[in-house]
Amino acid sequence: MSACACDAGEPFATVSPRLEAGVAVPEGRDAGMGWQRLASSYELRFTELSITAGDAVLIDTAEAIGFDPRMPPPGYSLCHNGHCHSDDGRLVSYEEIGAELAGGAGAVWVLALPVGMMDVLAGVSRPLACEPSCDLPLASITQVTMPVTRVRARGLVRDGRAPARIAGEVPWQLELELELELAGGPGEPLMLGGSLELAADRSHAPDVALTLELRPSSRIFDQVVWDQLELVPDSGPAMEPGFDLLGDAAAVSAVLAGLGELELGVEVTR
Amino acid sequence: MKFASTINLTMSICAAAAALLGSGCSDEHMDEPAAESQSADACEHMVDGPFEAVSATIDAGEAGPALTETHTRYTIALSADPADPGSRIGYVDVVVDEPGELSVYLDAPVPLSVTAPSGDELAAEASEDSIAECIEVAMSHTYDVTVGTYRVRLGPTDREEASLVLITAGHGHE
Repeated sequence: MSACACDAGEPFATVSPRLEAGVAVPEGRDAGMGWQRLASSYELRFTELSITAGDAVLIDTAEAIGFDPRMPPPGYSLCHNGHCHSDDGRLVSYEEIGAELAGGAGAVWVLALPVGMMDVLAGVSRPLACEPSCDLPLASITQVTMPVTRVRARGLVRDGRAPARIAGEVPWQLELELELELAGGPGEPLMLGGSLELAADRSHAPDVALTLELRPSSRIFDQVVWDQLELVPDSGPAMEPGFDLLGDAAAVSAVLAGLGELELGVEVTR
Repeated sequence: MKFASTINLTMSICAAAAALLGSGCSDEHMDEPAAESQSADACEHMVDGPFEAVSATIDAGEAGPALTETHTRYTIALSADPADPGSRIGYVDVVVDEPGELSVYLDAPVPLSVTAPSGDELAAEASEDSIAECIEVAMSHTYDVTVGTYRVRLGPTDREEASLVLITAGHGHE
């Protein structure tokens, strides 16, 4: 450590973290009046969207995982969002790959930011607390991960294709407890990730504003095959028939795939 | 993190392709020089793959096999046209998740039409009946597309199969 004696006791950086979340409308998907186009030619509107997450964790990745995600190790490619694509088709987390490789030291997390429930449809903009402290030790933080534990969504779906595959506007709902297999979830949280460059050392200004951004859109539902879902009686908010995605394994799998593509945006300013 | 817009044409194509059809572009494109044209790119994949084989549906009202990969040579098996058993046709679906331009490169002069999600036939913005970069590509068509699933009809033709490569580019490309 090369710190001057007169700096002894001062943190290498102090983080002021914030969370921003809201429904995004990607280019080409705005169908007007709150509707968004899907790649499947259906159109979807949210009436409720909340996502619950655990602690977002900032990780000193270079030390933690034993490899640089920009240069995937043999057998892996396309490393992003905290995972790499393996040659056999799996999505494998950085931590698992680091554990497989010789010299992987395990996760070295520097800072945890409790997130909790986000009313994404209403929009979120709030500061976050730090665990153990917003004061950082000497570190080179290049990765952030955030486990999503619950997704609750409701809305309407209609067909934008002619001839229509479903009739009119159909209510739908999804209540996914990702940590509970019995509740239709995969049995473990969905890990989102993002990349950043945050050096906590004597070479950089110590005060750091850090903003985590989550902007889900209709993309999450691109792979759902709506016309193959069963209409469930009394599932809509007005006790009308609708789609309960949790009751269809293929739909849950499609949504999980869509959620897995969500990017956790990170902005760092100092 | 999303790929940043770059002046590297190949990387831009790959980034747009990965986003447009929601699927990957081979890593090799990330290291290639910027100067490769889209047609040359199509030629490379028409010759070297990767390769996928699908069977087109004969029923216009039935969901066809979804072509989800760009920079991939799809060999599409066609079937006898019920209305004209002497010729062959087939339907496939192309799923688009970002607006932009979709170019279809064919290995033979097979008639091709594209139907938008609205049900309207989509006119090509440009068509070429040959490209300078290789003889393996016989024709190409470029369409302006938005988010949605497009129905592609191949034929009528006397060929039993047709091969195509999809290349995409986003709007507002720098």
